[in-house]
Amino acid sequence: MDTEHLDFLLNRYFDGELTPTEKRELELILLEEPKARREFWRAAALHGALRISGEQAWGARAAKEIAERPAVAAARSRRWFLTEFPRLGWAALAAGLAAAVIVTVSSWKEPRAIKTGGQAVVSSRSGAPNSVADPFLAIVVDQSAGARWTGSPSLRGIGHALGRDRVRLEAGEATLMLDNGVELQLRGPVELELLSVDHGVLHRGQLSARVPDNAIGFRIDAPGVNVVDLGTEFSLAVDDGGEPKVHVFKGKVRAAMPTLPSSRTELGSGDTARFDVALGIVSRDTGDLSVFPILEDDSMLPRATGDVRYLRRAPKSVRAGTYEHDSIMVFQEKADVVLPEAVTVIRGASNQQRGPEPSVPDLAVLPAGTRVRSYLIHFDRVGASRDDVRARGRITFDRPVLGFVVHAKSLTDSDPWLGHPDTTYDSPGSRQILEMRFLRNRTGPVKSHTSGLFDEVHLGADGRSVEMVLFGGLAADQFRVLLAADGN
Amino acid sequence: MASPTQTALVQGLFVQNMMAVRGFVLALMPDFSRVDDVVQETFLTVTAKADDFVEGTNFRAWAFSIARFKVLESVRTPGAREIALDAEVIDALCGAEPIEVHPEEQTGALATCIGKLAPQARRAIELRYQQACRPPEIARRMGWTVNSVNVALARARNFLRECVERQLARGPG
Repeated sequence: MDTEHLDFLLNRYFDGELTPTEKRELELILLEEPKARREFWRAAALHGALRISGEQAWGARAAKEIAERPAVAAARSRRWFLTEFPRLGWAALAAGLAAAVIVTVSSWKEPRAIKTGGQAVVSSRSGAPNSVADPFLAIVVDQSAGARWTGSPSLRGIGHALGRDRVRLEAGEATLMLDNGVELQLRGPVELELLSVDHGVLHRGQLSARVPDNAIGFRIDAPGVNVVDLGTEFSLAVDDGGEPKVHVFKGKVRAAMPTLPSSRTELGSGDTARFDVALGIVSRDTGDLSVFPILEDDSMLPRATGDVRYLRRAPKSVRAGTYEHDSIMVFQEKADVVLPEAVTVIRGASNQQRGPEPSVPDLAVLPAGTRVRSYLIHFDRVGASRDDVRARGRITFDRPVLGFVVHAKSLTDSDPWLGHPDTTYDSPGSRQILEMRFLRNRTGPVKSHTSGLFDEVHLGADGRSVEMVLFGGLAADQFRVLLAADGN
Repeated sequence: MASPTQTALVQGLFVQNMMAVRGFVLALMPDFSRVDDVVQETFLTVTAKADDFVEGTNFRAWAFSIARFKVLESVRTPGAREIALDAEVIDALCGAEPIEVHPEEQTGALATCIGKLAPQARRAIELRYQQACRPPEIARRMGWTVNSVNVALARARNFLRECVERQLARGPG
């Protein structure tokens, strides 16, 4: 038996990396060689212990937080011994011992996330940056007027992107849109940590989640409880005593206390359950539903797909460098404006990349007096290197698109009457236009991006969708979409 | 249906052996995301079959046999089949010798040994085992190639295995 090769295959097996050929090879070795089977269990023992230690380290902070609430912990301990020990006996005691083990695992420390520019850089526990870059996971698409964020990095509100961050909303409400389409409604005071687009930790406070079909399996952990979505809208609230409550608005979730397998429970529409983590008790609850944030009806909002994110309120600024991330942001500027002068727009589709001559889309002039609704499209990739970053996606509106304002002069000239009054725009001199092949700037035809490609903006066949492929280069890309105003 | 006393006995034994059961399931299911479900299903079946357990016999072996069936059920599903071992192999692994899985003994020693890893190796192990990242994701986060991650994980595990075995051989204190 080639032990080195077996070791190689076992490592790949435990990491889920075996190719079909390697898998068959490992299976044959394990079937034929008793020594290989012993080696398997030797390696498996370490693999299992590592995962269990890792899970415990991950959960240790939650356990620590509960333990740091002395009044609650002491009250619970007394109540537990008086009322529950005779009933639960050794099972509860063993669960308690297992929980105690969690706190003793000290060598595993969580990395600390730092924002530099727009990218999250994770430093090791020694504090030395190790150049580990994390992607953004979510964008703040809405927040109430009184919303107040704290912590580091401090959020700048609507349009801000989050990576693997632990964020605190001290007051007000805010809505996050994750990259997989999961919508999280937060109500302050709330503390949320995003680990991935599929997984977050609610340390305190209340949130509601709307999970699309493609993200089923989305999981939120609270101290001592995990909730796995099975296709639904649900809410999770952690009170000051660290006691989680789960409510399902629509669909189904599975919730469980990891240290107590018997606690696993499925909740359906309208169900509420309370988890007493200290006692290991799950109880159905019909209490006050007002603790759960209400998800806004999103059926009337423009539908964004791909890298496009629709902001439900205008951001404070769209100046280059304010919000750098990997998504194209779209927001409504004005709902109903009478154009004071004619505006030149483009419509239809155009081929920007191929052919000896640029394909020019249909040009149209919207006459003065036309009533329009305006939206701004804004893409500002992280940093300003010459390397292109591509973002693509589509946004579909509820009514026909009249055209896109892409020319620099038309864009800056229309800012005063189409721009949002609370949003700061770049000054005319620094305004960047799209790199579309048919456009011209002061020095001549617009040049391609470093990659040799041009930006593309097309009107979909339905007349209501805008499809775009934008290349973030040295500056932000912007254009304006005009729709007919209500009643037109 | 088992008496409340028998059910309580079996559930208590399960909780005492939960780390071992979890370690057993982890060995047979490289996909961490399914492990919770299989352990919980095992607990429910152990509870339902509480009457079958005879006090004084080997509870751990009995629980492993139930967990093995739950693993086999789980790995039949699409997505799991591709990375899990074939049922025949799982049977061979579970059938021959007494299975020695004692994560409860190893976790204490691991805490010391992980602290001895080089920072980048420790980071790779943390991403793999705390955050359940697979090598491609670890590579992306660390700015490494997947191959470098595979090598780093393999070396780190070798070091940890030897370190843990040394620690356990030395005994407590």
